[in-house]
Order: sequence, then C-alpha cells, then structure tokens
Amino acid sequence: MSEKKKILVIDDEQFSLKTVQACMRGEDYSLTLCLDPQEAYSKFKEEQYDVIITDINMNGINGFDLRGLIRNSNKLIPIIFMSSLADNMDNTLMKQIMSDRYSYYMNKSFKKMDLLMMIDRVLEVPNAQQEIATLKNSIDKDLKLAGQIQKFMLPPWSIVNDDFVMSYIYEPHAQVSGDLHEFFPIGNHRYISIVGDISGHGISAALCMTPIQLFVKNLFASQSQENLTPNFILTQLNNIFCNNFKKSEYMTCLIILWDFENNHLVYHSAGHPDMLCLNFKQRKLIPINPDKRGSLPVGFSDTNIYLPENNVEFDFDDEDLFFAFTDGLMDIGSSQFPESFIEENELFDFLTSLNDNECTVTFPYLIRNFIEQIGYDFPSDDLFLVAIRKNTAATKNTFLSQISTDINETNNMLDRVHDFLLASPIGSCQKLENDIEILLGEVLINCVQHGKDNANITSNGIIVQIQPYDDKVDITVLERGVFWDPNRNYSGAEIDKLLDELNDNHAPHGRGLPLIYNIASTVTRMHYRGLNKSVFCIKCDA
Amino acid sequence: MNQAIVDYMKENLGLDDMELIQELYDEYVNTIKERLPSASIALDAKDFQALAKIAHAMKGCALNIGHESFSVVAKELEYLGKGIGPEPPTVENCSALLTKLNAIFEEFLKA
Repeated sequence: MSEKKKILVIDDEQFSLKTVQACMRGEDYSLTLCLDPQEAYSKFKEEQYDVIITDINMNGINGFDLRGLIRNSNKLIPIIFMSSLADNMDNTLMKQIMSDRYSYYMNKSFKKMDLLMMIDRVLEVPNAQQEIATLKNSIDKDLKLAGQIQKFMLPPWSIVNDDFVMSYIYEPHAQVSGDLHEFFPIGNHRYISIVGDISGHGISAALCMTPIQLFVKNLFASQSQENLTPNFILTQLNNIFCNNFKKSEYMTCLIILWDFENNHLVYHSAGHPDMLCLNFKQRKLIPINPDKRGSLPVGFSDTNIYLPENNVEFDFDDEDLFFAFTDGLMDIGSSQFPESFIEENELFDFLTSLNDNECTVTFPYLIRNFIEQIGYDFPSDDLFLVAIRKNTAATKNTFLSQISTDINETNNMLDRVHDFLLASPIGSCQKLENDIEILLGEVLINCVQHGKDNANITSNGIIVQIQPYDDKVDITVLERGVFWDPNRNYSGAEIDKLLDELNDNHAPHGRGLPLIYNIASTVTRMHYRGLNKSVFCIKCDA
Repeated sequence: MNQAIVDYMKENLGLDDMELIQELYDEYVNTIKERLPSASIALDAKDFQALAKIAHAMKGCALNIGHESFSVVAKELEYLGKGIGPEPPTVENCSALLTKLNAIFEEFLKA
C-alpha cells in the first residue's frame, strides 16, 4: 500500500483550517494544519511534504514570503494559494502567484471536488517533470552516441598525403548534425569530395545524413572513375532523396572532382554556397563560378536533371587554397547581440590576410579563432568548414607528414623524418639530426599520451612540418590532444635538476618535457580552440 | 442551523456527517461572534487597517461556508478600510457597513 501524500495547510484563521480539514476527512491524504506561517516553515524543514496549501494574507509573514523561504530549498513542491484576495481577479496578485512555475490559486469558496482535482493534478507535475528529465537524459545519451557514430563515419579531421593537405571543422548545432562530408580517392592523383547540408538541423537532419553518408561511400567505392562525374553523383543522390525521404527533406551540396596532377577541378553546386579559392599570389579570392552555374538542391524535384554543362571547370595554382562550407558558417551570431550575424566581408577580409606559409591544416581553426575574437560565438545551425590545398611541401624542401595518434606510429614518423633529414643539407650535421629526432620523438610520445586523454574520436591525428633554414630548423607539430601550459619554461639548471630527480627515482616517464626544452632554443605554443600548434626552433651550430 | 448553509456544506464541501456539519457551523458562528466586536473596537479606535484585516478574515470564513451575503458586505468593508475605492474610510461609512454586517449575521442566526 502506498504511503499517504502529505499536505501542509497554513492559514492564520482557525475556521479556514477546520473547513479544509473537514472537507478532506476520509480522503487518502495526511494533513498537517498550521496557524502560524513561521511554525509552518519549521515543519516544512523537518518533514517531507508533497503539497503546500497556504493563505496569502496572514499575520507575521505572508504566503509569498513563505513561498520564498520554501523555494530556497525546494523548487518543485506544489504550492496552492487558497485565498479570497484574488476574488476580484486582481491581476497583480495572480501574476505574483503565477510567477512561480509550481504555484497555483484556489478561491476560499472552493468546492471539495475542485480542491481534490487540483491536488491530484499538482501532484502529477513533479512526477511528470521527473519522467521528462529521465527521458531527456536518455535521449541525450543516445544523441551523444549518435554524434560519435556520425563523427566516426567522417574522414579524419585532417588528411596529409603526397597530393593534398586538408582539414575541417565539423560542429553540430545540437549533438548530431545534418552536414555531410566525404573525401574519396579515385586514382591517378584524383579525388572526389562532397560537402552537403541537409535541410533543417537537429535529429531529423541527422537521421537523413547517416544513410546518405553510407550511400555516398558505397557509390564512390562501386562506380568506375569515368562514371563519377559531379552531375552523375547528384542524379543518384536526387533519386535517393526523392524515392526515400519526405518531400520536405532536401540537401544542398557541392560535388568536387579534384585532379592534383593537372591542377584542375570540376565541381557542381546543387543549391550550395560556392567554394572559395584564395590565390596567395594576388592575395585575393578568385571567383570559381562567375557564371553562377549550378542546379537545384537534391531532393527538390524528381524531374530535375543534373546536366554536365552546369559543372564548373577550374584550373588552379599550386598555392591556391580552397574553402568549402555549409551555410552554418554565415549563420554565426553573437549571444551578446542576438540580432547580429557575421558578415561576408568581415570573413573574406580575414581570409585574404592569411599567411601562405601557414600549414593548411590550421586554416579552419584560424578562421574559427578569428570569428570568436571579433565577438561572434555561436553557430545557429550545423557548421562545417573545410580547407584544401595541394601539397607542395616536397618542392619547397619542407617535410610534411601525418600519423594517427598511436604510439606505434611514432616510429614510422621518425623513420620518415630520418629519410628527409638525410636527403637534406641537415643530414651533414649529425648532432642537429640527432637533436631533431630526439626532440620529435619526445614530442610525439607526449602528444599520443595527451591525445589518448581526449575522448573525441576525430582528434586522431598528429601533423609534423619541418622547415629548415640556413641558421635554424622550425619543427611544427599540430594536434588536437589536451593543451599543455605554453608559459612553463625551464631554465638550464631546472632541467638538469628535474632530470636528476627523474633518474634517481627511476621514473617511468616525464623526461620528455625537460629534454625538449634542453634541445629547442625556443618553444612557441598556440591553441586555436581545438587545435594545438607547437613550434620548436632548433638553432644550427656554426 | 441555517438550511442554506447546511446545503452548501453538503453540496460543495462534500460533507454528509451531520455531526461534522454542526461542528463546523458552530465554529463559524463562534468565529464571527468574536470578530464582529473586534471590528467595532478597531472602528472606535479609527484603526481602519485593523478593521480591514478583520473584515478580510470574516470574508474568508464566510466564503468557506457559502455565506455569500455576509462575504459581499465584509469585502466592501475590507476595501473601504484599505482605502480601495472612490471614498476614503470614515467612521460613518465604515460604521454603516459594520451595522449591515451585524444585521446580516443576526438574520443568519435566526434562520
């Protein structure tokens, strides 16, 4: 048998208390009557009640003051104000009662049935709230998992290979996203990529995104190179949308066919924002699609035909940097100024000011950093931004390579670095070569360790760039692990002391950092919200 | 007992135990019997705030038990005492309402 619900009734008029008591006789409630509101508050603190019924106008403290005291410790308990004060429907009084989410009003000339119904109703509210909270918690957990699965299906956050360097930012508005990104090799230094944005955001967009992602992967893997033209892919996607999804679901997208051997691309926009091309020589954004060619978003109409003549052809320079994004990038606003959204000019001016010596991987993070620095802070839609540039490191006597965040991979990276150093003028200086390898070994181990602390699945990846100069070598490491303090510097004596201590204690790890500071003449650390950039400078001995 | 009030208690407060009805009825009568002289004392002292407070309490009791004619005049007295309305509280206008309240209560006891 369930325990009786406890009701605390407060009124400084004995007769009113007796009326409520008489009315509730025989009902399945346990009543505590109280003439003094102060005493009622003491009782409330001593015992767990389910409902409070109180008068408003009382000697000592009034009903609202009593509510204030109660709400300090219990935000949810239902409080029924039983009063005749509001019998003229005094709006001020009613507003004061209703200003609290769990407060209710009942006139003193109540009917028993009305009172019982109200008590039953208000008792259900906290239970319903609890059920909603439990359900929300469960949905949040499921969404978190769904978000992780979505991220798992995306390409790595950065790709560095002999042909190109690419990195992206993918930020769902909620836990899951309706933004789509795929990058797929089709041979002969050619790749096909897709950037898509499913209508709306949140769960419904995300539910559409996942099967489309699978479809695109299968399509890219199953078709011959010749078939994979942008217009063919869009036709296939349009069929999928029109045959399987509601008419209200559609997707804007860009299909891009990259040929890094011939510096040529073919792309087709299906209602999507055009790709941007930043030409560093002219330091300006080149219009790739001046004739505004393109087609309707996929899913708009099953009769729509994606024609090859609407494909855009573009020849690019080695140094050209490309940005593709979803319209979430232009939906970035400010929580401080809700009506204010980022303007295209602000963003484009920043893009043309970017340093072409910067590794391509950092660009999306630099942009996000810039957006935050000028006061915009929240995306009101799913956000996706990708930067792609041809990999020209080999032609500039620069080493650029990527490994996954795996301890076994660090040796592969060190072997690649070793080969690069041997083939470069640095190879003639044994000490410098050794210093670079020792420093890098320690840094990578450190990054792997911190990378594993970071549960984000897309953080998997460490990029190393080595740039030799006449008098120094800059080693840049980009990763998305846990940020460590850039301001901590060790003096030579401190390093020796720390190393001695570690050796004396036979410490299993911890020698890395002092060793790094011992070798590098300067260490610069930067954090671009999600990306760590460390530059270690090693001076060449004369 | 006043039959209209007994009917109100049965119908609206769901009371069917005559002993309980009598108990509540007596409590009401005693409460008003105590409050009416207190109201006169407050009026004699020209303490209109105290008068309004007593009128408010009597109004609440009358509403509880369905004594409508009494609650209406008690409300008028409460508002007058508080200075709500076109007229300011005076001994004369408050006294007139208090006399009316006494008369309604006398009538109630006779019924």
